[in-house]
Amino acid sequence: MEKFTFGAPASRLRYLGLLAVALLIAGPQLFATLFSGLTSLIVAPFTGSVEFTSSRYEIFNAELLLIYVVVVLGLNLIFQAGMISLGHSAFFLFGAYGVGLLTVKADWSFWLALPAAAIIAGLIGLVLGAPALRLGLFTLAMVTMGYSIVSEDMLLEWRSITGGGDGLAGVKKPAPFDTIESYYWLVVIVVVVVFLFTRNWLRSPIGRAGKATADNEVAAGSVGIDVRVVKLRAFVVSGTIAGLGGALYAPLIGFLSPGAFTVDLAVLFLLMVLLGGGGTVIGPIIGAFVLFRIPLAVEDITGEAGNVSLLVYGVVLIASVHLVPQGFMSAWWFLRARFGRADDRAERVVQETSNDEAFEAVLAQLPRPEDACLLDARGLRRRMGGVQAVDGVDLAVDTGQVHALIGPNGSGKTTTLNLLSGYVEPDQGTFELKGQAVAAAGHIRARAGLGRTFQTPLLFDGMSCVENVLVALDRHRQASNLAYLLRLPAARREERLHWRRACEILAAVGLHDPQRRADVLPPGERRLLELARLVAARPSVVLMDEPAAGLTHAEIEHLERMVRVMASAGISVVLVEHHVDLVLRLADTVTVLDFGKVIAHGSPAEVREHPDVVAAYLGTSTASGAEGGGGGAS
Amino acid sequence: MTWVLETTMIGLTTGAVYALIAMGYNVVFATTGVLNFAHGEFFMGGMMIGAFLFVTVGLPAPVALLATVLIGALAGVIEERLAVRGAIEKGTGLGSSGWVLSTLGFGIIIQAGITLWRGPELRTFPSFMPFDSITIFDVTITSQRILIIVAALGVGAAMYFFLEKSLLGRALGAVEQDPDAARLRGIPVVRLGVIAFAIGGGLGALVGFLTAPLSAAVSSVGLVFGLKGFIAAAVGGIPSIKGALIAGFGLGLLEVFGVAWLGAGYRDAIVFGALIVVLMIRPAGLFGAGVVRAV
Amino acid sequence: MSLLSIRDLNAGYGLVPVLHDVSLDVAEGEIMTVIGSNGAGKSTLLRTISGLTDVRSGSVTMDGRELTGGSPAVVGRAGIAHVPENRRVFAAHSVEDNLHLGAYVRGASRRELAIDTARVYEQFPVLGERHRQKAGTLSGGEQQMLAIGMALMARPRLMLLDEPSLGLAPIVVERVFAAISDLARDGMTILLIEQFAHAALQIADHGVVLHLGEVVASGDAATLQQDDAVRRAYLG
Repeated sequence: MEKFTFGAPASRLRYLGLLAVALLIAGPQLFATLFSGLTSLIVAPFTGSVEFTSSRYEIFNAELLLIYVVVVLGLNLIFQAGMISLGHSAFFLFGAYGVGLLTVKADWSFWLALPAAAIIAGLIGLVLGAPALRLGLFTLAMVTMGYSIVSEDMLLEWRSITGGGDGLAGVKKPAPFDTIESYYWLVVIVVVVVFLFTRNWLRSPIGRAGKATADNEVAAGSVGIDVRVVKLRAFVVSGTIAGLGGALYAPLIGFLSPGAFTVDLAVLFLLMVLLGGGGTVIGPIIGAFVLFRIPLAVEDITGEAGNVSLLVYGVVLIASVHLVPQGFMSAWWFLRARFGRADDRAERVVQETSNDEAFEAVLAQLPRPEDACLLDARGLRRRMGGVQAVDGVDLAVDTGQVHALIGPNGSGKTTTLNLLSGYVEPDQGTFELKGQAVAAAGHIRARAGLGRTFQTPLLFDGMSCVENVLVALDRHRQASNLAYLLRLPAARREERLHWRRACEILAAVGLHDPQRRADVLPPGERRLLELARLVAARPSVVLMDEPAAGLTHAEIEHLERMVRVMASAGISVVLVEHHVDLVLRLADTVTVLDFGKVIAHGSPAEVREHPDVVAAYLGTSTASGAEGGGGGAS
Repeated sequence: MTWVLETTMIGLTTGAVYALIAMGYNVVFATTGVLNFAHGEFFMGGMMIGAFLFVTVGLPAPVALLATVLIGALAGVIEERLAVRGAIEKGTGLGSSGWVLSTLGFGIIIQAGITLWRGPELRTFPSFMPFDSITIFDVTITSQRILIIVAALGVGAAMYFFLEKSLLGRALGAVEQDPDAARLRGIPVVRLGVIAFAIGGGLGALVGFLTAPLSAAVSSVGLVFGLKGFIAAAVGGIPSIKGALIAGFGLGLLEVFGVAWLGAGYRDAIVFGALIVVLMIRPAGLFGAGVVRAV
Repeated sequence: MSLLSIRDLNAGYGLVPVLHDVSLDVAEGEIMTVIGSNGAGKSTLLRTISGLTDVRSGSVTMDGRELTGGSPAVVGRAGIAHVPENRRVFAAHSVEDNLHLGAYVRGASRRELAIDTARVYEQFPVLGERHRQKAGTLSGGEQQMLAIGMALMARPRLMLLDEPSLGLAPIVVERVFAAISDLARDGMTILLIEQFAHAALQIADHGVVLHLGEVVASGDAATLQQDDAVRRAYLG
C-alpha cells in the first residue's frame, strides 16, 4: 500500500515571511514608508487620506514597533505555556534601565551592556517567575500586574540610582548604529534573530511541552512533563527577551523616565499577543502592528491621542473577543481551512494488517522490561477529608500481569490509584518500581515508566491527535534542546521520525485521521487516543481508571484485546473497573477494597465466590450474573 | 501611643476600603467564575460620578449616593452583557478565558471615558456626615472613617448572610460550580449572572463614593485600588467574605504601619509582598475554597 | 392516561441532528424506560424535554399542555424534574442546600422547603444523616440518592432519570433501582434512560429502544425482554 512521504509544511505564510524579510532588508526609509502607508490605509475610511512618508518621525515609530515586536514575541512564549503576564513592562524596564545605567553611569560599552541587561532581566525573571508555579491563571495575572506597579514604584523610590522622576538622560546609540537610520539595522538583526528563536521554540518539543502544560497540567505530568520547569523556563526566557527589547529601547529614545514603563504598557503588550493570536508564530507580530498604530491613527483623526486611543483599545478588545476569539490568526486559519490545502506533514498510514497486529508491532518496538516484579506498593495509608480513604493497602504486580482493583464507590480505589501514580502523597507506605523507590510526583513516576489513564480521558483538547502522541514521544528524544532550537539536521530528522511513529501508533489503535483535533473525537475514540499516547510514552506499568466507562459493547471488546496485547508485550496493567465481567475475563489477579482496606485478594474465580465481596460489592441479584454488572450491556 | 491609635484608625479605614472592594470581586466570582478586571474602575467611577452628583450638581448626599450605586449596578449589568456573556465560553487558546481580555477592555473604556468626561485632575469631595469627628482617648477620629469601617462590617455581614443562608445566594454559588446542572434544574443561570454583576458594580461604586471624601476623586486610581482590593480578596481566599474582611483590614494595617517604617514609596510593595508571602504558603488564600481533585 | 406525549420529535445540537421523528407516550404512574447504546440519543431526548436542546420539529406535551422548546424553568414548573447523568450535584454545597436548590424552580416558601426536605430524608435516611456534609464528599450511590432527592423537591409529576447506574458498583445499583421502584409505587411517573437494559426492563412497565436517534422497538417491558433482537443487541 502507498505511504505518503513526509514533506515540509507547505504554508503560504512562508511566502509572506520571505516578503517581510525582504522589506526589512530594504532599509529604514522603505520600511517606514510602507509602514506609514499601510497603516494610514487602514484608517483611510476615517481620515480620508493615505500617506506614505519616511520622515524621521515615521522611522522612529517603525523602530519602536520592531522593538515592541521583540517584546511580544517573548511574551508569546509565556502565553503559550498557559500563563498570562501583565508584568512585561517590568522586564522591559529592567532591560532599558540596565543599559541606561551601565552605559551612562558605569561607562560600559553598549555591546557589553546589551547582553548584560538582558541577562539581568532573565535572572530577575527567575525570581518573579517562582510564584507562577503555584498560582492559578488569573491570580498570576494580577500578581504580574503588581510587578509592573511595584517596579515603577521602586524606580521612583531609588532616585539616587535611577534618577527617579527626573529620569536618566544621555543614553547613546552605539557606533556604527548611531543615527536613527542606521540604528534600524541593529533593531532588524535582533528582531530576525528573536523571531527565528521563538519560531523554533514553538515548533520544538519545548513548545509542545508548553502547549501541553497550558492545555492540561495533569495530563502533561502523566507523560512525564515537569510543568514547573516548563513554566519557569518560559518565564525566564520570555523575561530575557523582553529585557533585550528594553535594552534596545534605551538608546532609541535616549532619555528614560518612569512614565514610559507603566502598567498600561504591560497591558498593551498582552493585548498585542492576544489580539494577534496567542501561541501562534506570527500572531503577535500582527497584533503589534495593528495595536501600535491605533494611537497614531487616532491622533490623525481627532488630533488627540491619549484617552481616545484607550477607548478604541477597549472597544477593539471587546469586539475581538466576540468576533475573533483566538485572535486574528483564527481568521487566517478559518480562511485557510475553507480555501487552502491540508498540512501534509501528517501521513495517512494505510494498514494492510488488522489493528491488533499493528498494535502488537508498535508495542514490539518498545523495550521489554526484565525484572520479575515490577511494581510493589506496601502499607499505603492516606487520610482524605477526615476519612481514612486508604488503610494499609498492599499491591504487587508482576511483569505482563493484569491486576484488577475493584470495590464499591468510596472504597478508596481512586485514591489508591492516585497514590500509585504519585498525584497524592501517602501518609505512610512505600512504593517501588523495578526495585527502586520512586518519589511521589506524577511526572517523576511517569518518567520511571508508569503510565496512567483517567476516568474521563485526559487529552490535550486543543491539540491534534498527532500532537497528543508526539508529546509522549518527545520524552524519549535524543537530539538536544539546542539542536531543536537551531533546527539542526539531527533534530529535523528526529522530528520526522517521531511524526511517522505517532501516525503509526494512532493507526494501530484505530485512529486514522491524525490531524483531527482531540476535542472533536467521540468518547470511544478519546479513550483510544489516550491509549495511543500512553503507549507512546513506553511505560512498563499502566494504571487504568475505569477505561470501559461509557464504551459500547464493541468498543469494550476492542479495549480488552488491546489490554491483552499490552500484557503479552510485557506491560503490566493495574485496572480499576466496575464492569465485573470484563474484570473476571481479563484479570490474572484481583484485589477487592472496601472502606480503604483489602477485603479479598486472589484469582478472579476465588474472589467471585468470596462472601465478603458478594456482600459488599457484587450483590446477589442477576446484576452480578453472567449478563454483566454496572452497565455491561451495550 | 496616640500615634499608634491614629495610625491604627487610618489602617482600619484603608483596610475597610480594600475589604469592600474585595467583596465585589468575590460576589462576581462566586457566581460566574469571572475575575472582573474592570472592578477597580467601578470604584473609581463611584468616586467621580459621586463627585459630579454631590459636588457639581449639588444633590443631597443620600440621593447622590443612591444614584451612584444604581449607576454602578447598571454599568455592571452592561458589562455582563457586553464583555462577559458569550465571552465566557470563548477561548483565546487558554480555555474559556476570553473574558480576561474583555473585562480588561471594559475597564479601559470606563477609565478613558471618565477621564475624557471629567478630566484627569483631582477633585475634592467634602465630607457629608452630620458630625465632623469624635474624640476618644485624645484621638480624633473623622466621621467619614467611622462610616467606612461600619460600612465594611455591615456590608460584609449582609453579604455573608446573603450568600451563605439565602436561597438566592446559594443559587448564585451553584451556578459557578456547574452552570449546566443548574440550568437543567430550572435555575436561571443567565439572570443570576446579571444579578451578580449588578451587585458587584453597585458595591464598587458605593465604596468609591464613601472613599472619595477621604482621598479626593481622581480618575487614575482605579488600577491601584482594584489591584489592592484583589490582593485582599486573594489573601483572604476567593470567594470567602470572611476572608475578604479579615485580609482587607489586615492589609490596611500592614500598609500604613509599613509605610511609617519604610517610607511612602513602598506603599504598594508592602501589600504586594504580603500577597506573595501568603500565596506561596497557601495558594488558595487564608479561607479559600479547597482545591477539587482533578483526577 | 398519557401524562407525557412526544410526537415526531426532531432535535439536535447546532448542525448535528440527533433525534429523528421520535414519538412516545408515558402513562401516568408508570415507569417507561428508554434503552439503547451510546450515541443513540437517549440523553438528548431528556435534555430536549427539559428545554436544553433545540427542537427542530415535533412536539412535547405534558397533560395536554404544550411544552415544546420551553426553558428549563418553564418545564420545571409544569411538573417535570430532571436527574442528570453523572448525578451533577453541587459538590461544594451541603446536602441540605442542594435539596433546597432542587426546589428553586418552584419558588417555595421556607415552610414548604422544610416539609419537603423532611420527606426526602424519610425516603433516603442516609441523606438525613449527612445533611450538613458537602455533597462532594458523598459516595457515588449517595450522590445518586441526593440527585433524586433534589428532583423530588420540585414536587414533580414526572421524573426524568438519566443513567442512574453509571459508574456505580453492582450492589449500589440494586439499591438505587429499588428506590426507583418505590417512587413509582408511590405514584411517581418515571422516564428512565439506561444503558443497563436488563435492570431497567425488569422494573419498567413499558420500554422504547432507541438506535441512532430513531425508535426501533417499543412495547411492554416484559415482551421487549423476551424479544430476540433486543436480547442480542442489548442484553448480551
